[in-house]
Order: sequence, then structure tokens, then C-alpha cells
Amino acid sequence: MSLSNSSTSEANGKDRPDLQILDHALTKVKQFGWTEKALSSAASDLGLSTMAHAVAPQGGLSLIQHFMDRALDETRIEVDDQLHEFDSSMDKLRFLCRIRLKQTRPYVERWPEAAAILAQPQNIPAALHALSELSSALWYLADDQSVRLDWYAKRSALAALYADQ
Amino acid sequence: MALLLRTASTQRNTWIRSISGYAARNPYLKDFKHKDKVDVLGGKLTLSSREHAMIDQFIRVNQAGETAAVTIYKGQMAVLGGKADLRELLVHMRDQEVEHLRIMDQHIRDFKVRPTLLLPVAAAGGYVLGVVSALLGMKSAMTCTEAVETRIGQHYNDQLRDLHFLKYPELDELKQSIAKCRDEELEHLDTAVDHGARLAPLYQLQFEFIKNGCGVAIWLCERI
Repeated sequence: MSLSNSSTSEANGKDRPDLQILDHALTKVKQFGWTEKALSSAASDLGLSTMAHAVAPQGGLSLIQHFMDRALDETRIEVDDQLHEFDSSMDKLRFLCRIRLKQTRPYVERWPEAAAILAQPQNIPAALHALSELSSALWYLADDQSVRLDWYAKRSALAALYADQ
Repeated sequence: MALLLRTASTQRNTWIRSISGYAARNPYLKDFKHKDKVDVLGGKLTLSSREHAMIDQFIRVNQAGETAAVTIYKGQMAVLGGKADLRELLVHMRDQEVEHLRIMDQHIRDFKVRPTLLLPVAAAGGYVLGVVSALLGMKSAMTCTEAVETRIGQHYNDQLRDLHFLKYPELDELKQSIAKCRDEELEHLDTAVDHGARLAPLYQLQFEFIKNGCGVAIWLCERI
């Protein structure tokens, strides 16, 4: 599971052109949707060949996964200094979910399309993995102290909450 | 059949190869792409995904093992708790195992480890093992303890050998606590032998059966 440290877009300077293309492609999503076209357009903007859309091997799905990684990173950065103000784990979780939800705001018109892509049968394993990763990361950020089977109960409950939205 | 199952030794070679940078393929490790760092110890240490996966497996098994150890002694006490001196001995060993479990629970929190789904199975199985071995007599109960502690001593030594490859100073506390648990388990082994483990009827059979059963349990908890 990815519980990665914050890696902001600026930090991926010259050595990660694939992440640069993906980040730029996220700005094209409003226009082109979660498609290869967004990736090709982003690649040509950056001066690369339009065939560079293949840095995202599964096209729209990879772009959506990249968005979810970035959203989690941004959530981590944003809540870093504010979490200590909350007392209980539940309060922290509520705050974290709200901040995470705000990350979707720029893509809100195109989000139903993303949900539809994630619901396609061939994408379900990747979607479930991303969901479990998100759920676990949010609980860990909310200072979860569970060590027995309630570890699973908490994560399943949060994942169910996200999946039903 | 043994070649088809990934035994501890082949998996260990894979850990060592993957951590030392060789392109090892291990079916129990996912392919990690660009998201490959995990913050543990409250942010004090950042591990690569493979390193975290190894520690994740180790601590998961340790927690399950200590859970089972506590319930084994509880089971034995339920049957053999009548005599005062034996009861005192079993209480002392059980209290040490409870302390080990507390240590492993703290490691689960510190290293963001997924607990095993088999925890209730470990607890119930341990209790049944304790009761059955005690019903066969005090010496058989000691044989059970000896077998379990032998396998656990070997298991902790394997872990320490693999953890030695991770040179982070922040991991020293983990290595020391595993070493302490191993020393106390080997103490229990010696105690069991002193109280007549080797004089039990069908000693070899009981010993090997329980020792190999522990091996299977370790294999399962690493994966589930």
C-alpha cells in the first residue's frame, strides 16, 4: 500500500518527465475528459511527441490513478499542521475527508466520467486497490491506534463510504 | 511439493536479493512503481516499499505468534492449573508472553503494519493446542512448549538475520525488542526441558508435529 511521503509537482523537476506529463494532463481534463487526448495534448504542450501519452499505460485509468495519488499528497500537505488541533480520531478523520473531498473540486464536472471508468469491469481491481489505499492512508493520518480486527472494520467502513458516493 | 511452496529460506533469499537491488520476482510483493516510500515511526524514518513489506510481514507474524503463545499458556493453565508450583510457572511464562504481545502491538502501530486476519484463528488454535497438550499430561504440555519455543526461536533468529540488512539506526529498537523476545522464548524452552519435556510419551512425534505446525502457521500469517 502506498503511504508515500509528500512529493509535490514542483519536486519532480527534470528527472520525472512522466509525472510532468501526468500533472499537466490533469489541467486538460476539463477540456478533454479522462482520455488519451488529454495526455497527448499535455505532452505536446510540454514539447514532447504526442505519442508520449503512453507514459500512462492505461490511458484514462492511469490519469485517474495519478489524480488520486496527487489528491492524497495534497491532502497530506494541507493537513500537516492542523491535525493536532483535533482531539479524537473521528474529528481528525472528518476533517481529512473534507479536505480530500475539496481536491476533487477542480474536476467536479468530469468526475462522474471518472467514476464510470473506475466501474468498468477491467478496471475494478485497480479501483479497489486505489480505494483501499486511500482508506488506509486517511485512517493512518487520523492517528488510528487499532491493532486487531477493528483495523479492517474501520477501513472497510471508510471505503464503503467512499464507494457509495 | 515442498519446492512449490515458498519456504522460509527461499523467501529469505528473495528478500536479500530484492533489497540488495537485484530484480527479484516475489509473488508476495506487489510491483511498486513511483509511489514507493512509506513513513514509519511517526515520520522519523522513510522506508522503501520493499523494506516496509518485509517489516510488515515480520511484525504481522510476530503479533499472531505472541497471541497464540498467550492462549497456549492459558489453555495449559486451564487444565494443569491445579498444582500451585506448576500454576506459578505457567502464570510467569504467560505474563512474559503478554508483555511480548504488548510490544508487538506497539510495533504494529509504529510501522503501519496490517494485522493478520487469522488473529482469532491463532487465539483459538493456541487455546486448543494448550488444552490438548495439557490433557496428555504435564510432560506433554512441556513438550508442546519446547516445540513451539524452538520454532519461534528459529523464526526470530531468521528475522534478525534479515533485519540486519537494513542498516537504519532507527530500526535498532525493533531489532533489540525482537532479540529480547527471542531470548525470553529460549528461556521458556530451557524451562520446559528442565521440567521433563523430553520424558513425555511419543516425544519425537509430538515435538516434530507441533514444530512443523508452527511452521505452517507462520507461512500462513505471512500471507494472510
